Amino acid sequence: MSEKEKYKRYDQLITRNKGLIVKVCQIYCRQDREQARDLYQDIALELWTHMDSFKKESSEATWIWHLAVNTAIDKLRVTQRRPVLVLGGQLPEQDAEEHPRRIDDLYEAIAHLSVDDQELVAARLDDYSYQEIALRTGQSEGALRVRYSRIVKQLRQMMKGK
Amino acid sequence: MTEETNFLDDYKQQWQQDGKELERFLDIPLATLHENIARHERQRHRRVVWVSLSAAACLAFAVTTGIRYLTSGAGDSDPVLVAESRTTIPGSGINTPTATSWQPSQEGTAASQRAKARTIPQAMGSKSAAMDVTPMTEEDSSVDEHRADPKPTMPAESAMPVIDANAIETTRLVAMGEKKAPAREVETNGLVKIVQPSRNTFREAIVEPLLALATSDM
Repeated sequence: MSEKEKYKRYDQLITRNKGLIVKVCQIYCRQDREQARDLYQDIALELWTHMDSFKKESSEATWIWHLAVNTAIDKLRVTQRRPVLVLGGQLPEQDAEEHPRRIDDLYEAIAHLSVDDQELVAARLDDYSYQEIALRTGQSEGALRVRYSRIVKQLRQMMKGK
Repeated sequence: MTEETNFLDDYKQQWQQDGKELERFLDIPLATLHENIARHERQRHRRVVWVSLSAAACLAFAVTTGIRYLTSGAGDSDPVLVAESRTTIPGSGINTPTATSWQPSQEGTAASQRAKARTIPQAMGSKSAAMDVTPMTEEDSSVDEHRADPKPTMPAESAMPVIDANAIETTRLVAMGEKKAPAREVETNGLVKIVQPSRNTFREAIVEPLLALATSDM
């Protein structure tokens, strides 16, 4: 492939998947836009570096999502998983139910999900249907529904500080 | 939809608003991404050889070997000679430091590098060397070797091969062909370890590779 062709393919890849890259920047850099800008460009550069290694073992969207999240974790030194997560203080369960839920807590909780779960919950929060997500990820709608239900339960527990 | 999945509905509006605002902010043109790629590719192919020498040895070395690019910056008594190319130096004994072993503070500021690059050859009174002492940038190698206000060469990544020859006077004499260097091991600054070679080894291991390096891709 010539350099020109590679650039053309790259441009198409970026244009098709810009929304996904922005979404990862949103999860990891919501509070810092300049950092988000840096991360966006870091992810774009990683895509250039690795675009020839995409083996189509997963969907393009899932591959890019994984690459983007891994770049974010690497660049921002985010600890993806922690055994115990306390968000927004330890409110009693009853208060937590009534307390206006904090969006920051949601972002932090999402950042602690697995990479695949992040992709699903971000898509659902953006009102993508299960059918659309299934097309994008190559998974069945039924499996996505079951998984999403589990993720929401997990998020709820994390955000209660349980 | 179950009660569990309804749980996230409260956040959707804010989430989507955040996403739209960020998407507008991250409207980075493809041309900018292409520039980043070009910069990355240049860095990836770049090979820099740093030789820490005294000013005198630095110039003597350049004159002896014909290396055309020099800059300084490690300190007044320890300027740095830089030969730059896009080639590797197989079998030269040049070491590659790790990211942690590299100490950018030793290089001085960009301004001091520029200043030293201009003043050292003049102070040494070497006209030919002065012609050669030109801080080199990536662009210099292909565009203009002697532009009016060149940027200094700075180490940009950890994969730079480094020669730190700190036995300055001996090296200079060896480079000038006036003395056979004692063969012994030298450690300097914790950066690299070299064997101070005999004259022949010196030529084979340092002078010739550097000369090849300095004259390739030009």
